Amino acid sequence: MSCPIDQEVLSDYVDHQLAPNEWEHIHAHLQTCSACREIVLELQSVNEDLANYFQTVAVPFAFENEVMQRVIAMRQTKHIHHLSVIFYIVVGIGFGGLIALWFSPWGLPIRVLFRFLLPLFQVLNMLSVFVSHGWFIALALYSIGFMIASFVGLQWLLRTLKSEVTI
Amino acid sequence: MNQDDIDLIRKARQGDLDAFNAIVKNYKYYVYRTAFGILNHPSDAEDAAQETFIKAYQSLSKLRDERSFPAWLARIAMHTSSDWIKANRRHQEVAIEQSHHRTSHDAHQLAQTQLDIQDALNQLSEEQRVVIVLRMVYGMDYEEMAKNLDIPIGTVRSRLHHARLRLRELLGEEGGIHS
Ligand SMILES: [Zn+2]
Repeated sequence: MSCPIDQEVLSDYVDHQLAPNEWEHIHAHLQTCSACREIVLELQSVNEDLANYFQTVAVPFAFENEVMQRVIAMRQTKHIHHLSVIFYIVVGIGFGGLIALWFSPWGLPIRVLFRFLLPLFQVLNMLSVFVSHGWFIALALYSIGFMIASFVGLQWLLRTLKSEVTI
Repeated sequence: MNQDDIDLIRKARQGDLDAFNAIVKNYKYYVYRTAFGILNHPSDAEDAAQETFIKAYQSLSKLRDERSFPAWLARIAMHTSSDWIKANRRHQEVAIEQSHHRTSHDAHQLAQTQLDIQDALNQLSEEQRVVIVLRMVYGMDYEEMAKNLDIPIGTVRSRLHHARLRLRELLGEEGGIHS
């Protein structure tokens, strides 16, 4: 083509992406150059076709309902997940606390207190042989009870929430 | 973008589902047309559009500036649709054949033109379809497109220009609107 105008500039012209002075320049050029004018008309026609085309693309029926159903289901799953995490953290802290009480120096005061209270138990309890290990037995029973209660509680919680999701 | 949409986004970010529902309603055309423009297949476009909103919902808390929501959503829609193409390449080829098949049977002029355009879009590269969609569906200027696609403005310009020249060629050839 003999025309010195860069064809891509014609796209800029059609898309209104030129500075005012450049726009004037191309606009004036189009009055004299039929080759460029034809390209501009064709680009405009393609734009028009595309605009019409995208205008008629219809969004499927009940689109937002389907999206919202998925969002709600996702939110409930996440909710369950959060509750489980909180639950496990609480269990962890409870269990860790017991372990700490059992082994660490920080639990010493409590163990000492417990030992001081032992004579009281000894008075109440006639089984004096076992009583020196009573704190140990109490802790063990408490731990087992705590774990069973936790497990049953978690199962119940998950069952209730899952039935909510399926609704 | 109006103030109502900004308020809706703020509310949705705080977990208000009604607000998010309203956002889906307000932006479903953009998102669906983006997916459709890139995938050129109704049910794929629907899946990708749904996926786009789910992703938007999940990462709404990461959106810093509410005013950038439309471009941000466009980016998610684009990436989701592109990923869809990568995951379902074989499926996509079947879809093209089917749409050609329908073309020959549909007599209605307008519907014919729409199918011509759909077929023509199918013959562009994915990159070309993306710039066409951003320009025609979102009305983005070159600078916005460059920013969203993370490519130089010059690349946007020439991709768009060549995409339109190719469409002109294809539509002229198929005797669409120019006949
Ligand atoms: Zn010229």
